[in-house]
Amino acid sequence: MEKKNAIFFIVFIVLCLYLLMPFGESYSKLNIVGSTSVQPLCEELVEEYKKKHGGVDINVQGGGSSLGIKCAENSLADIGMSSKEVNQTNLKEYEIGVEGIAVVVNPDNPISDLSSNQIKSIFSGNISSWSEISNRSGMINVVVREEGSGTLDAFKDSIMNGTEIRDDAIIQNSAGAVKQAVINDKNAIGFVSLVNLDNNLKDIKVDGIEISEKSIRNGSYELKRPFTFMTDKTPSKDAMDFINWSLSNESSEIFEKEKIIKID
Amino acid sequence: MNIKEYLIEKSLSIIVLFLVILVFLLIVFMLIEAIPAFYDVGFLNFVLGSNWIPDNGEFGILPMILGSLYITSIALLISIPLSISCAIFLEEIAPNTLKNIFKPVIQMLAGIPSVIYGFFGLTLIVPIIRNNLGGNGFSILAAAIVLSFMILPTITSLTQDAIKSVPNYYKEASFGLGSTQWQCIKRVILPIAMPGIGTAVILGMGRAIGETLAVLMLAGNISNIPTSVIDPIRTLTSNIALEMGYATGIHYNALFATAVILFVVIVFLMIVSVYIQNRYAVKEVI
Repeated sequence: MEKKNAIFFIVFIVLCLYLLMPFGESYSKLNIVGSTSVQPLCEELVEEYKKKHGGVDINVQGGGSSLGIKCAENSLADIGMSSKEVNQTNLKEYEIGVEGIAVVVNPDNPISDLSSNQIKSIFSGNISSWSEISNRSGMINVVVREEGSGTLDAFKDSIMNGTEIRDDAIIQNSAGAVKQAVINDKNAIGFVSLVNLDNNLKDIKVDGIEISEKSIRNGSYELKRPFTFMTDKTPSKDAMDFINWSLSNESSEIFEKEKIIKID
Repeated sequence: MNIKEYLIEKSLSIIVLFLVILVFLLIVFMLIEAIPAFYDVGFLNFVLGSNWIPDNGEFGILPMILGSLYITSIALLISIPLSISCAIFLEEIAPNTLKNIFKPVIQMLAGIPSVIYGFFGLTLIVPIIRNNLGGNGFSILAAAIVLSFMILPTITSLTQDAIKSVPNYYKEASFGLGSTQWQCIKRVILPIAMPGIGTAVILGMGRAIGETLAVLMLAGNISNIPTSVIDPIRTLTSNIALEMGYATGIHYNALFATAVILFVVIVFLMIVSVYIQNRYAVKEVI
């Protein structure tokens, strides 16, 4: 019986503590919803922001750009995130940065430069063998992202211009999987965002311009997409504070780490 | 004392009832979300259509139904002989020391997360297929091979249990009549354990058809009807996992409809297997 009493006592104490906890502190809560591409950057920003401004509880959720737009429109979220052009009149938009997208091949591939028309033909299937554009043989294995992915949308917008991507292109559902597919196949070609580019992959110059912070910033590198925060017409003060902080110089380090180019 | 018994009995039945209601709710929820898609696209167009282009409002999942069935059956074809041999060896032939080493190792296969299997296939099996059989490696075969490793521990350990539960006197009688060990295994132990082995295969099949992540990484996810085992393919599960993050409107409903079809396929396969199992089970004669 004593053991039973002890258990009841502990449960009682825990319950009391749990009930007492939320009281007595003034929390303001922010919900941020949207693009899974912006999400990692946003989470880093939130972590840093919380360190400097106590008493704010910020919740970051994925779900895709279209969900972000929808939630911001209906005020279901305080801030929406989008990684594609928004063009909604009933929203306030704050462009926080630009992300470059690199066209990548296996490091053993001698090709280093393609025109945007060639890239378009490769991904649409008009060029299906490496011998058509270089002096090596082999079929081209095209690797793309899944339907709905922000990276795929940005690639379609800046390269494909409405032409369909060949229907037998391998579909991978993350940048990591695209990387693995290209690293393991010397005939593969794919695309990943700048932050995922490393020495195991070879990036291709598009129309003679290499992907870099500089070429994205001055606009000469075409393959890129905007990262945007959105609010409804009457954003709360807490939401504005966070957005202004993200736009300010204080957050520059995080942007550099995530390889997102900040707009000045 | 009686009250205590009563309470325990009632609370247990409430828990079971709760689980049954949960399953029921799941099905209802799935159907409610799926019905707009069936209504909009048409049930036959949805199930027998071979084009999946959400942007154009074309939703046909025939390639994915075939994909799920192909991958599952090839995985079972590889896995069943392997795991049944494994179980026979571990239960009947291996000395205890070996058994104590092998059994935990095989069970450990079940504990490895599927993303690890996915990467294993991506870095090892996909290149092997690409270099030896052609194509680009992402294929039915790659996914099926990896899947067969994943369901091997399930089938092995359940088959082991089935073999273990064969009463000793059957074995003794068979040895007493002068059979060799192999004859005893083939003519006595396996037939008696068959219903248990059937259950093992059904559970393995359930796991194979429901597996998402490893297949997603290895199958290439193209929604075309395949012509050979080295063609890429998309399964029902990977279709849901790939696009759920972005889908809105009718596309979202279509993914739930995909889940309904997956559910129907699994229930159908289960019924068929249970029927076969009952039909061919050796009735114990007393």
